[in-house]
Amino acid sequence: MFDKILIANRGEIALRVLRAAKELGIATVAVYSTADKEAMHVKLADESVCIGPPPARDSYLNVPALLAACEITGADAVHPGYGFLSENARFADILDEHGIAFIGPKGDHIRLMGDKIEAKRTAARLGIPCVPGSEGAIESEAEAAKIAAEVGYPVLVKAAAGGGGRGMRIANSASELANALSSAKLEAKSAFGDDAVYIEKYLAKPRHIEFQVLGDGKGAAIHLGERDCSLQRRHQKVWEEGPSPALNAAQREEIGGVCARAMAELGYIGVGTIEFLYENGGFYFIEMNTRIQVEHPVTEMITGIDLVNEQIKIAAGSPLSFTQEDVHIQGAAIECRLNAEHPGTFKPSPGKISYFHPPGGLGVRVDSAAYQGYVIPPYYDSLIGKLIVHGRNRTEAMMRLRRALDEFVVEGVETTLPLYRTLVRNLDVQNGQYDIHWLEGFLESEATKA
Amino acid sequence: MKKPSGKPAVASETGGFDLTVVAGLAKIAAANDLSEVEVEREGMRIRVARQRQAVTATHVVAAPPVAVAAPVSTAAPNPLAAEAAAPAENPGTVKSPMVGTAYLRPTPDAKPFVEVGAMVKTGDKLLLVEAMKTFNEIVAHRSGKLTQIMVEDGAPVEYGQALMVIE
Repeated sequence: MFDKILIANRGEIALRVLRAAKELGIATVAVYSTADKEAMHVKLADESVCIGPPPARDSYLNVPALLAACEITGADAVHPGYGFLSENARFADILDEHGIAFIGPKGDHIRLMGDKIEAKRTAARLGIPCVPGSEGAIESEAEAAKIAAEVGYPVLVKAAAGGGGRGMRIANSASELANALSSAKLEAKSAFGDDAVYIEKYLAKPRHIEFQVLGDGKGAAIHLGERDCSLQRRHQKVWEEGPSPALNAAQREEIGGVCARAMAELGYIGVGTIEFLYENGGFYFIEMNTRIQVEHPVTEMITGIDLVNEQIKIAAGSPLSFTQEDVHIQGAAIECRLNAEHPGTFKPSPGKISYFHPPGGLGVRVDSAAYQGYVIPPYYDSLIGKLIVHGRNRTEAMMRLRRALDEFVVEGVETTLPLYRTLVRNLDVQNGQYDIHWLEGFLESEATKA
Repeated sequence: MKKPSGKPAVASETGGFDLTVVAGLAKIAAANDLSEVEVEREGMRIRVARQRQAVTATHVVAAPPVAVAAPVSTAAPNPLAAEAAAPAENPGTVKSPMVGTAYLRPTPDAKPFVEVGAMVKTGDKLLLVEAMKTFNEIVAHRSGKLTQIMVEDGAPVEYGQALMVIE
């Protein structure tokens, strides 16, 4: 087992990793930019090292600084959290060369799934159902037109090096295709440095359903059920829940099984999430995330399994300590991402939290690094915490969520709490009847009402 | 601020801290109206900080009991705080531009680059900071008298850490 883990991240996920390390008796090193000096996990870590000024590229993305921090603290493992360097294959390789464990998958698997075209090819090879579309990158407009005609409009032009919903353009008909191609390529080039694009059939009203997988790199892999993350704004997840209101046990077992077997064949090590669009009973692979995800607590609440704990043990060489038969989905869990943003305009609202009172009680979990008096820096994303509730069934979870949201007080900055209070009282949300376009449609209609 | 210790931590119930020492330090801080008191022994460093002219020392030593106490109050850092804060604002302070290990001599048996009291010119070599076998020269950013050296030879340093002061 590791002696000392360096947490190469910040905010709520850094705190999450710190908690798991402490529970395993592993020493912790917090690295921070000058803007994060007063961060909760910095205060709680055994050691802390300032690695640079506020900009992420000079601090949290600064590989030499992170390596030097490992060197001077004697850390023998690095947990990259999510975002930042968590899916940077080169970082994983560099750590490996220095004899430092990277708590995550092998560099080659990160690389494989990071290229969306290769990922889709691999998924297809492993028997995972995919969205109909181009085999690889689009070489010409003529090729694009041919494939789009075969697959049927509307189509989506997607960046191969993309992810997180960026570098995508819709073409509703042949006349829109050229435009969609050029603007997607432009955004891809500037955001990811690579303008390779591919084409997929655009699904009209799909749900976003993702499966959590866990592999030990020794040929064993399991799935831990799904999360429904259909409620999104600008491709950013806002509300996640598990199990999905749209799936039954048979479907879960079938697709979950396909995912688990695929990971076992790949020899995947660590946690991962296989994301699907689900429409009319059909699952379509879109991408795989080779890291711990923001919404992992939803799965933890319904399975009782500590995913970060499993990550650390697997990275240290342990085999999976349980089998698929040991995994039971119990009840329902819902997570709300609390952002420091205006609840209507979503304009970021950094600054000092003058009053912070999180909710409590049975089945209520708050994963947040915020505290009363904490000053949210303006340099990073606006996520200040996650509220997760669990109930014996979805109705109970919804009632608990409503109660917990009403109890939660954050003052001094704007937050998206009011949005969630509205959503939890909405009939469609209560009935679980939504798709990936629902939230934006709802926000638009709210805006015109106001 | 918990500085890197350079070696794996020892896991134990109280982290090996004698809480009476912590309480004693808190008393000393309060009795002498100090903003912080720091001691190091047997590889363990304890720092107690308090708000001057404010709450009693026992406040600051509250939870978490094992970690170094951080100010409990939500107020801004005390502008009257002791010498430790002064170098950070002092324009003569030489701060580390990187994470690494500080070396005050070019080689282990050579003389140090500079000594306290020496006059230095802009561009003079003051020390080295090494990371991953690469040595970086830290030079004087202004001319003047070298009044303080705040790091030991071979000590780990972090970004922005005060290394020396040139008045």
